[in-house]
Amino acid sequence: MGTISELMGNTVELLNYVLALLPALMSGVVITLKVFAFTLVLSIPMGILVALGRLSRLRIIRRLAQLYIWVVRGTPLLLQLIFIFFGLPMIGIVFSRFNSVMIAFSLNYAAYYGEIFRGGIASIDRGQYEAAEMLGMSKRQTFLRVILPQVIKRTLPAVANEVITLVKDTSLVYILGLSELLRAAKIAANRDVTLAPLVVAGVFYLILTGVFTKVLQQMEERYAYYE
Amino acid sequence: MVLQVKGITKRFKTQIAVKDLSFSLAEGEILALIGKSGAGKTTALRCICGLERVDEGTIVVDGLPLCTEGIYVDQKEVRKVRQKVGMVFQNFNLFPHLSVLENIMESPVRVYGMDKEEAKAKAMDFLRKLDLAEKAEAYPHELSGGQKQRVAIARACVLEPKVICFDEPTSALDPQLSEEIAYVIKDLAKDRNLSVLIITHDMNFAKRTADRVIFMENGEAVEEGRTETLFEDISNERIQKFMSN
Repeated sequence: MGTISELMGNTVELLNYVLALLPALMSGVVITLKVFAFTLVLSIPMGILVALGRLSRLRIIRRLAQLYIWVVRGTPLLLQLIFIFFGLPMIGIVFSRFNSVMIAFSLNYAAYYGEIFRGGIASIDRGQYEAAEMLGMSKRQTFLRVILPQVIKRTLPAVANEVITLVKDTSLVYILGLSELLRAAKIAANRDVTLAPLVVAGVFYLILTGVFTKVLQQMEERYAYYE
Repeated sequence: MVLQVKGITKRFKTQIAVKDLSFSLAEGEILALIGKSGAGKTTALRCICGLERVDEGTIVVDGLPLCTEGIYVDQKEVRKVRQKVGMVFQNFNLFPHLSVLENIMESPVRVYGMDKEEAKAKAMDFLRKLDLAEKAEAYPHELSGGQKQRVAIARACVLEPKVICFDEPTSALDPQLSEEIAYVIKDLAKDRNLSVLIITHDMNFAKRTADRVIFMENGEAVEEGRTETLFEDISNERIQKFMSN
C-alpha cells in the first residue's frame, strides 16, 4: 500500500512540476510559432518566384536561380543562420536576431518550395497555356488564373511535408539565443537535472505538427473537387 | 473572305511541315483539311491560330493581317487577330479547376471585361443550345468526351469569333457522337454565319460536314474541291486510295 501512495505522491509532484514549467514553455511556443508563421508567409511567394526564375526564358536568370538553390540547399540551415547573424556583421551588415532568423529561414525554405513549385509548373500540360492564349489571356492572367491553382493542388502534399519539417526546424534558432520551445525546455532540463521538460517539449511539437497536418489534410480535401 | 492564307510555309529544323499552302474561307463556309497524320494539317491550323509562326506567307483574318510574307504584326495586333479565331483543341484543354460555366465565362469577364451577369446569361444560352445546361456547375472531369467538346465549343463561341477551328474533332468520339458533332458544327456555320476550319483524317466526317475539302500530303495541298464533287471523282486515284484505307 505504501508503494501506491508513494507512486501517487510522485505523480502529483511531477504534474506540479510540469505545470510550473508551462509558462516558460508556452513563451517558447510563441517564438516557435512566430518563426514558423513568418517563414511560411515569406517563403511560399518567394518560392513561386524562384520557380519562375528556374523556368525563365533568360539563361542568366535560370542560372542565378540554380546557383541560389544549390547554395541554399547544399549547406545546413544552421550554418546559414550563423553566417547571417555572426558573419555578415564582419562586412558591416548587421541584422537583429529575429531578422537574421527570418532572412535565413525564408531564403532557405524558398529554395525548397521553389523546387517543388518548379516541378508542379512543369507538370502542367502545354495545352492549358495554349487554351489560355487562344482565349486572349495575358501571361500574367494565364499564370495566376489557370496554372497556379493547378500547381497548388498538385504540390500540396510536398508542401505539407516542408511545413511539418519547418515546425521542427524552428528549434535551430536557439543558436542565436532565441528562446523557442526546445531551448526553453533545455534550460529547464539543465537547471532541474531532469528530462521531463524535454518530454513536454516533445509533446508540444507533436500537438503542433498534429494540428498542421490536419489543416493541410483539409486543404487537400478542399482541392479534391476535381480530377 | 473571312480567312485568307497565301503561300504559308513552316519549317521545323530539318523538315518542312507546311509547304506553300494557300486557301481562303468564306463567311459561313465549312472547310476541311484532310490527310494522314504527319501531312502538316495540324501545323497549318496552329499557324492560322497564331500558336505557331510561319516562315513564309501571308495570313489575313477578317481583313486584319496576322502576318504578311512571313513578317508578323506586333503583339497587340496579334491579340486582335486572334480574338477573331476560336479554337477547339483535339483534347479540348478545358481548365480542370473551373466549372463548366467558369470555363466559358473566364475570358469574356477577365479578358474582355464583360459584365459577369451578362457573360453568365450568354454562357447559359450556349449551354442550352448545346444541350448542356444541366452541366453548368459540373467540373470537366465529370463530363464525357462529347460533353467536354461541346463545352470547348461554347468557350470558343462565347467570344464571337469569325472563324472557329477544330483539331481532329472526331478523334475522341464514337461514331454516333461524330454524327452529332457534325450537326453542331453545321448549325454553327448556318445560324451564326461562322466560318469553320476542320482538321481531320476522318473522310466520312469531312464528307458529311464540309462544303469544301483540301487534301494534304507531305505539307502540301494536293487536291481541292467541293465536297460533293471531289469525293465522287472516281478517276482521282489519290482520293480513291485514301478512301479505301
